[in-house]
Amino acid sequence: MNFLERWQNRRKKTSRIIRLLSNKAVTITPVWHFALAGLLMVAAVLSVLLPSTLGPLAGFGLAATALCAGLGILQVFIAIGLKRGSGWSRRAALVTNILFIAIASFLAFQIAKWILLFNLIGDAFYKAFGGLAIVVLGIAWWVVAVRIAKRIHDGSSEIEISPKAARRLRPVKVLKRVGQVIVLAGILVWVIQFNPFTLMFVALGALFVPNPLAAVFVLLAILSILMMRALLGEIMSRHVSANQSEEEKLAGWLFVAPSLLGFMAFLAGPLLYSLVMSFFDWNGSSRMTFVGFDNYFGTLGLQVVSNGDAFNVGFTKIADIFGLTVGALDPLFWRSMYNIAIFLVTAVPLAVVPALILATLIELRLPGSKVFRAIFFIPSVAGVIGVTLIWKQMLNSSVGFFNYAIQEIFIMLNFVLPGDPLPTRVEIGWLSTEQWALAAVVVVFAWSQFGFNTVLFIAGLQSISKELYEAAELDGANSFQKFRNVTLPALKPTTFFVTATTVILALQLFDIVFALNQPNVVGFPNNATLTPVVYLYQLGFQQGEFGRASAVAWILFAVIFIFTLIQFNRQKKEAEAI
Amino acid sequence: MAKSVSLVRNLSSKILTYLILGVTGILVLIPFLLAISGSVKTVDDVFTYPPRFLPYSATSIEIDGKEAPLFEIPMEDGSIGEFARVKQGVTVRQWVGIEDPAVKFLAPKEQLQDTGKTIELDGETVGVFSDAAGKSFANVGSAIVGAYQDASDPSAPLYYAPSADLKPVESVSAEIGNFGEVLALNGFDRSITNTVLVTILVVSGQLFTSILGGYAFARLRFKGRDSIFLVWLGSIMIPFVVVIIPLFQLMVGIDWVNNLGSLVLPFVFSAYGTFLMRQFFVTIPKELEEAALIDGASRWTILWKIFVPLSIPAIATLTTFAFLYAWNSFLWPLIVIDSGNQAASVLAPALSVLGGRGADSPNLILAGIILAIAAPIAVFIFAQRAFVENAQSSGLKG
Amino acid sequence: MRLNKKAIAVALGSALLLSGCAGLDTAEPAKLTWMTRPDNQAEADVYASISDEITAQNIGLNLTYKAGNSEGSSYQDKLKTDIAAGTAPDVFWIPGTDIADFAKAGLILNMRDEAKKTDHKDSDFYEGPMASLTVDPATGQPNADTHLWGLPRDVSTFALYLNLDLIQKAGVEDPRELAKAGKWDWAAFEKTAAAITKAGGAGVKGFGAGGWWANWGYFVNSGGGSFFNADRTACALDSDASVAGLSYMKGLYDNGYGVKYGEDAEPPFKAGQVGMFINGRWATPGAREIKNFAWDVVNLPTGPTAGKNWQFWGAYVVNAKTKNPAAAFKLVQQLTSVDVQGKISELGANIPSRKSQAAIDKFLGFTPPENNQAFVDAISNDPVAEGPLWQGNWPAFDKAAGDAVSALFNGTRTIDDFKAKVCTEASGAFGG
Repeated sequence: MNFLERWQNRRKKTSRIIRLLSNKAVTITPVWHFALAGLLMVAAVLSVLLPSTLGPLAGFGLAATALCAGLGILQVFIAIGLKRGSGWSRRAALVTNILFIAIASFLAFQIAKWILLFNLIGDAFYKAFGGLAIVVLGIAWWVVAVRIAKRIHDGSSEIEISPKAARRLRPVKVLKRVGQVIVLAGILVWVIQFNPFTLMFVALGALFVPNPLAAVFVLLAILSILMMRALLGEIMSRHVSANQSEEEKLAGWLFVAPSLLGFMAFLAGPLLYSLVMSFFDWNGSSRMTFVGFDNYFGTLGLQVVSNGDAFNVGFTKIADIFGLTVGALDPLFWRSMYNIAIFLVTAVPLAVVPALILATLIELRLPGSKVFRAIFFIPSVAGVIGVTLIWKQMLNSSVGFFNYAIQEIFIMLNFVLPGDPLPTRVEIGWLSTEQWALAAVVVVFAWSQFGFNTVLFIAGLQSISKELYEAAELDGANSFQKFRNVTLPALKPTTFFVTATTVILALQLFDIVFALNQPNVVGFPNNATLTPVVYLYQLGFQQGEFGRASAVAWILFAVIFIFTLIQFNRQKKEAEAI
Repeated sequence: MAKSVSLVRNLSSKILTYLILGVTGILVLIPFLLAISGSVKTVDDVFTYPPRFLPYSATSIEIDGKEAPLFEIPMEDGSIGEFARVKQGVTVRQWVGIEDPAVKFLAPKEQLQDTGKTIELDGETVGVFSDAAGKSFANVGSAIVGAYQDASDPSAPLYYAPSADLKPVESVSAEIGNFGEVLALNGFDRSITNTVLVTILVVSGQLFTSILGGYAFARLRFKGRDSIFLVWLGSIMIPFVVVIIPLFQLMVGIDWVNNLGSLVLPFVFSAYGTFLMRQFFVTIPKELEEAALIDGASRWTILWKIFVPLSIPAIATLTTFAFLYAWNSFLWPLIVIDSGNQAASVLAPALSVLGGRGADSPNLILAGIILAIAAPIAVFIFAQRAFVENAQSSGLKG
Repeated sequence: MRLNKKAIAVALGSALLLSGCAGLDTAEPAKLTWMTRPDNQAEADVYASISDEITAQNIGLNLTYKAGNSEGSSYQDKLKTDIAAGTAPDVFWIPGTDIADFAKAGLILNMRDEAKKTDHKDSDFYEGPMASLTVDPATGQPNADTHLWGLPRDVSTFALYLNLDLIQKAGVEDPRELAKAGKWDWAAFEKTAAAITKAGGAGVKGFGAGGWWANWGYFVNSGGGSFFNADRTACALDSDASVAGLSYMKGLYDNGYGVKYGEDAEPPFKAGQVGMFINGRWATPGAREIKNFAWDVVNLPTGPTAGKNWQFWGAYVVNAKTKNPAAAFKLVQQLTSVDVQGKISELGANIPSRKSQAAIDKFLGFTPPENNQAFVDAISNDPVAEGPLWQGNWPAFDKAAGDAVSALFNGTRTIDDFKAKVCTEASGAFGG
């Protein structure tokens, strides 16, 4: 018996268990839900007798007890309903099981401290990296061989190859085979070094020691999975007289469940929590008082007085406009908003307009223009921190390459241009002076973003119908007129989309500033590069003002939301227009 | 006539196009080329000014067991001699010829003979010394200089000159060892393998959940589907920074903080990925599915046996998206992983630390950057189409 | 066949249980982690080897060393996040200025009670750091009987790193000779800087200084001024003497003698573009790599008030959340022992924080630079110890004053405007 057959036999055996369960589903599943009801009741009783078992829920003592009891009673109803064959009960039972699986596996995960497995896997992965490198090498080898083979095949069909091509293919086949051997060898080396079996043993062992409760929860989760299979089985389906659409509905919920649970746990939950936190004065641990909208007022508060008048307590002057003086409760927040506004009006056009022009040029489809598309795209894949650190070295005012290049260009221009010579020594303090620091961030942002936008514009250009151009040509339009009268209007939605996404990205500016600006204080010099996200980071993770930081996060969210909404409406209108 | 005019115009517009594209391409590539060249420079070379593009290394010879760098020194006969610097910061005297005031040189006092005589020079009385040939010189001051030995004739008297005035003997050469050095630095190699691991796990996790969810949203009718999908779409626009504080609190609460798992588990769910897969699945003809259903195949089988093989382009697109996201993520690992915890460090924050720690040796920082950005760029070159699709599908279809 | 399978299953199961006995969360006795902020890999390696040595001594300490984030990637801020997450090391190093900030936020332990159980004596260390480390936060005054926040790891001080080639080219007198003759003062410094800038050619600067408080702070102090009033409860940057020092430095920048303030001056210095570079002892290991020009160090130029160089220090402190305070203090003692300090000063980056002649001798014997004595002189000649702000907020003060000075040196602010407003701007640091 070879490996594959044995595997299939095993599959058959497991499916036999499931079939058995499915056949007896009508009797077994109510029992299971009665058992669950018992478990929940025990939990309810325990939570009264031994409040310490509640752990993090301890603060909600009575509510937790009530919840356990309520859910327990619900299980009884489900069990009875299942017995009677009510469709509602089947649905509720499925939801219960899904939740139960999630909770039981999470508890097992926590009790066994399986999170530590990640570090062990990291260790093993580090030690076995050589094997992986061999595999990658082998794959690359194989891919190259396949490409060569394809090129030889070109023109002739797969089945009928000319004898000449066949002869040329023979060494390529050897190449392919060598690639496969390398991959196999790599996998072998990797398995030996990585040693997944030890990891498995440790993982399973952790379920029993130090606390076998983890194993119990895993067992319960497995049982619950089996019960779910039984609930979905044909017998049960007939028992509750479910139709095709009922089955589809259940399958739908089942398929969305993983994403939905993840969404709740890691996005919706934290989002709500953050909203709650923004109404508290909270330093992360000891101090926590409800302050209503104070965090928002304290962040946004502005006061306008005519010149000479005094501000209320707590307000600091931030600007003079039209003879009026504006004061703010939180000048740093407004400085960050001011900075990001300046950043938006400079960086976004720089990242969008060149992209539009370059996309048009690339779409002329001169030979080799695809290469340029690829080159322009590189900065956006390379990773912000890496490229920013490169720029940081280039931007040093006295020995950096950037100023040196400007200087050399000036020297060359001095030969050509009449009038006063340009300075032959350039020492712009890109990283140190208030007037240039944001400009440096703009340069790095635009440089790393325009290539991505170019690709978006190319897609937009490709979707413009050729007939429009032909019509314009018949009218005798030259290429510039074609660009102005055909391309630009047709590209409006794309332009709008590109601008909106760039704006949304720019509003979240953090990495570039963090990597570019020193020393120590991010936002140096004189807060010239303080952005809202940097400010949020400082509030939350440097000063531990989690309440205030959450409020800033929500304000920023509101701003981004407005831009998204504008874009969304716009797209909707276009969709309707079509 | 008209034809040739239009030909010329055509040609000149072509040249202009190439010129614009080419100049922009060079501007894009320059930082990368500088980084590559800087990453194989020696630490001296990376600090030279004006900046040079190619990596040079100084040639040196061994004298008395010490490395002595070679310098070019113009000889009296007009040729260029190679001298090795054996000492720096030597205090020597400046001499000027009495017979011929044009002869000026630097040498220690011991190299000349004190004649005991003095002479009046620019209103000052200075001692007169003579050399081996009997010519006499006046001592006009002292200087701190380097001492140089003739590489071809070690017995010749030492030559003295200020180091800044001499040109070192250099040749273009790449210091490949920088890469090994940076890998050993502060667990940088571990950061790389960790990043690879995290990326693999995040990508496969996102693919799994997105395919399941995408299929349900595309093909299964169930109550509440459309409203859930709307919430889903909405969540794409939630900036990550909004949840970063509560998510951090959550990680602390369940004790996942400072662990590779905290970089993986919260990120295997992707609203964008689900959306992307859904958009693709919607376009697959219904007939395929219905035929399979009649044959008694389960939804699960249909999804993996029929839909997934047909959706390779969308999967590739999602892979590139998740790959870039996982590989380059910075703010989250910065917050959730302890400083100094090499076991769980990943590349972007490790680079940021390297940028501070390696201030003494920018060549090593650049070598680290090259290692970090090599993988995404290599993957991009191999799978260009998927990347471009990813960029284009990020909104136009929506 | 079936029996066989059972046997395998039993064997596997017991193997599982056996291997599982280790579990994932193994609790071992007196395991401590500690962390510093090394400036380079050599330093990190020495700390790691010290960690291993102490573990090997078998004195009940099982140590793991972590190299923390570097200065440029916000070591202290990251540390605070880690403490909030409950995962920070048991013992860690922080700069002297941050002691109060950490202590007042309850992040570090008062170790006086632990210290009393051991043979520790405050008097083994320099007074400046110890005064700041024994402050009672309630009163803001030292109380060595009740408080001990940590022990200083090292001290350090500023010197001028000289590019001798550029000085030679400028044809000015050697600052080292001037210092010996007692003529190395502000005027001589300005003259030298001017000459180097003029003679050096395009881009060469007379001097360079880092963009942080101690650089301009030296000119404030040696001009007779100071950051704070005598009991450190208010800003004193607007006093005439303080402003005189800053005004002198602004003059240097306005004349173009300096590398732009706020830029990292180390790359241009190493590229041979800067004549005199103000930096601490910690820059010496990096300077040893210089091959392009001859270099040495000299004392900072004397101002109207003699001495007043900085006495920098940082201290090992104990995480307030440590599970084992006694072992943690033992570790702090081990890390500041004569033996360990000797090893660290052999790196050339630090001056021992213990008042021990043996350690100083070891330090002096380590050349280049030839003129190591410059550092020792600065430490013994009435230095100003860097210190935390017990009745205020140092980071807030640093930020406010730093921004004001940066604007001053970069020409966007006048000296009068600075004098009039700087202490109002910094008032937030004193709760006002």
